[in-house]
Amino acid sequence: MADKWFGWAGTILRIDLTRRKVVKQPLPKEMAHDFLGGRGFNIKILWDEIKPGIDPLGPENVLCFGMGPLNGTLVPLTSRFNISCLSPLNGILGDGNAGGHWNAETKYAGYDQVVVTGKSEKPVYVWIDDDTVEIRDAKEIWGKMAVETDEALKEEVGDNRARVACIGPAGENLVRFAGTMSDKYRIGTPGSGAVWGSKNLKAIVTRGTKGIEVANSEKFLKLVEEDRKGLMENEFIQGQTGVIGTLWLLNMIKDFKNAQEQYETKPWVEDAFQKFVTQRKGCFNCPVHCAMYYEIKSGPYAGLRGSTAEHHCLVALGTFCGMTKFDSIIELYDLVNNYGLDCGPTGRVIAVALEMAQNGLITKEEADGLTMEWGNAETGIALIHKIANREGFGNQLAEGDYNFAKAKGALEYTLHIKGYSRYASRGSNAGLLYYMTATRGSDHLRGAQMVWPRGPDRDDYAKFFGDPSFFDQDVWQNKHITTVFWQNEFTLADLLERCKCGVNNWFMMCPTAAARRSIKESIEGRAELLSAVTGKDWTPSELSEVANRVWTLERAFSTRLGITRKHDWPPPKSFTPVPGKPNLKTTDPKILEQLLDNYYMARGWDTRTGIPTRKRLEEMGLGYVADELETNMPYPEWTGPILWPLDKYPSRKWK
Amino acid sequence: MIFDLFSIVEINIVRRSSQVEQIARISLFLNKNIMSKITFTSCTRNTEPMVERSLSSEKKARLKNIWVVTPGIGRTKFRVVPSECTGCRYCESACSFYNEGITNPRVARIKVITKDAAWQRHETDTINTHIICKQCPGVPACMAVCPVEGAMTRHPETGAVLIDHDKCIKCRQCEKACPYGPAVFYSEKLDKMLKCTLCNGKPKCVEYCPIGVLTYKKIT
Repeated sequence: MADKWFGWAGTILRIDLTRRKVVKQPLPKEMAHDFLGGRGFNIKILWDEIKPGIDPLGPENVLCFGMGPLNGTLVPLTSRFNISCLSPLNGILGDGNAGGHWNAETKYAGYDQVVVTGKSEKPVYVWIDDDTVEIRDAKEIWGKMAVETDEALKEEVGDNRARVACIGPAGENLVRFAGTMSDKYRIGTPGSGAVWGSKNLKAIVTRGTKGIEVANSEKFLKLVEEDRKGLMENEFIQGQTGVIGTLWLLNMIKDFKNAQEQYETKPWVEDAFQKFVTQRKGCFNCPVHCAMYYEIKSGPYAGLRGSTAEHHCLVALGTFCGMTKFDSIIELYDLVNNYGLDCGPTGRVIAVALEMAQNGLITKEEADGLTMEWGNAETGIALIHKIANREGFGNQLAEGDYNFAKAKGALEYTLHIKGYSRYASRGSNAGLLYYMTATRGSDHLRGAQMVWPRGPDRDDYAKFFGDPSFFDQDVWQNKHITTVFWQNEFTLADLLERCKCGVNNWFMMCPTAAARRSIKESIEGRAELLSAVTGKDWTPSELSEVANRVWTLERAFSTRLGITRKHDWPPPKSFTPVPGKPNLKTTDPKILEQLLDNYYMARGWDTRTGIPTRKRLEEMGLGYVADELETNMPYPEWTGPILWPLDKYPSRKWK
Repeated sequence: MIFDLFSIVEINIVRRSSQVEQIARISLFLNKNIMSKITFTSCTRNTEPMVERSLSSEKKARLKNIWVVTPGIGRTKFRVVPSECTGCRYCESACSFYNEGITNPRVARIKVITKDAAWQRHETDTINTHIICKQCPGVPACMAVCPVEGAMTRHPETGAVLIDHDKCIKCRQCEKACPYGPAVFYSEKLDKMLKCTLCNGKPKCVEYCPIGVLTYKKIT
């Protein structure tokens, strides 16, 4: 199969906006086999092409769109793609993943990866029509809201089945946590939208008509059938995820008022379902369909229609900001979608500002006369408008929660690890290790302990790891082993571009897991499926080595930007008890130190610094990484991204 | 707790009736394993999806799209309920893979058109619409205009209108004549006319549809 590709499309599309040049580069076979796809391809390109010390919002930044070998095939749940760049929000790896239809369409056009470099002088969009790739003028659509852009571009290219990935006005205005919008799904890449904006790139429109072939149809169909039936018959997936979507998680995560308190979300979710949800929404080839269309039928926001209300957004914009009325959260959410902001950091920065105001750090005058109080929807709406347009107080907030709090000298208000914030994650030492070691900053989508009913049960842990205590959350002594295992599983999902479904369900992440249920048989099933698709024989251990390689390269990328062991430390709020909830345990710093030691050893990294060792890098075929790290050590310590003076940002105010 | 929601599912999410039982089972399962209390009332199939409630009865009937396949009166019916469709296009992928051996929605004989932007602007109440051959009764328009004798025939059992690719001259008259879509179209990539064949009585799109939007069954 010298020139015939199965699964992979076989081409990397390179778009140089400075010189307005498009190059189609054959996908190197070693790259496909060593990095598999999606997130792996992206980190390889970022390592090769981004040097330390560059400005994330400068023309040197590289924007990568990675698809995996399963995208566009009949395998269910394979409708994700990764966008990676140097993050303008925290200055390290900015990498995120979204669903929709754009990924499959781009694969059908014949590309595994799209790499955008340079900076255009004028606003442009890219039209990929199979082999014809054009860089077109985007004067007409610059400034348009994301949903309008989507529609206008489909009309302009004359095909309502073409697919659009684009940014909204927030990205154009270089809001540091602007996201990428694709089929009205956001990509939580920390700040990828601002990178599009800095390159004057508004959208990539794709039409693909080539299709994807697989190597062994018979075996492939057998495994797909098995996987699909497993998903359709899984009680948890069809009864929970397929019905209430990712809101399932609201039962677990209850951080309220910037994680100062906890909130009982039960009545809140009931409210949502009774009043707002109209229909389910699914990504390409998805039998689970966790997203939803909603409509507000009464009250001040009556008539509002939108889609994909997801757990993380509703928590960030809702309970984090003390908001409990579902219709006002939906209104905020709709604004965020239209402006093309990433909802997580938007909610976080508003929550941080509100907590600062609560403690007197921000006065009313400073906040442009807004009433800075918890749960005030009007304030939230006003702040989102201000942030997206970089107006007044919003200009400060548009720098992101970490940069904003750092400028105020009050970093303890944020929940950041390596500049990116998620949940406070109190109570579980082992659980916090996933957040601490995630390669893009605090994150629940880079690994989590999978337990029944979203993962294997205790017996299966005992069979696979050798002891049932690997299952128990209270036993921390062996959790570095499960952490590495689950992080690799999550990474593999990102490489194949299989959905983690927000609720982190391993039965969805791993092909055939829903049918087979046992860890050993499922990872064998995944290897068989990948062999049937690509025509190359894979074993489970080869796949886990690929995941190790990608994870370690991501760590090396961060190392080069100044990340060491001390940055893998959780925020102060993880150690503070919640008022009124004496039973909720807090985490123990001593145990965390020990866990980090164990984890670095399990990964083959230096325990003192957290830097990958030459021995381990060479084992994985990353000798060139070890060479570069050794030559240029030590790197200046990471202190966040390069920031601009606030008056330097373009004032392209949205009308 | 959150699983009280099952009582609400009934109002909002329309599911295949076979899944209703399943959901009932799940709630019991959850009751045992996770939940302390469940207020599970009933989960009967919702006959009136929410988006359709405000429509006239005539439009409702049109939306339901019950298509009876001939010959022989009322042998089988292929039913599409657009208001329940999630727009995942699994039907398209399955159609193309089983019929052409390649996953490529552009050569699928069923098409899902998503118009969510228009829906968001309140211009339409149906988000997804489907283009698929209705296997029109009597002499269909495509068959009537076909200039080659025997190029278009009916399958004796399923009643599907079929194209004989050896006889077809690809004049595309049928495509122009088709009033629905067009449900028969020319594919440049495969260099042939494509139309739904009902997969010899076992439509793959129906098998792959995860939510029961497409159904195909014998009428007894």
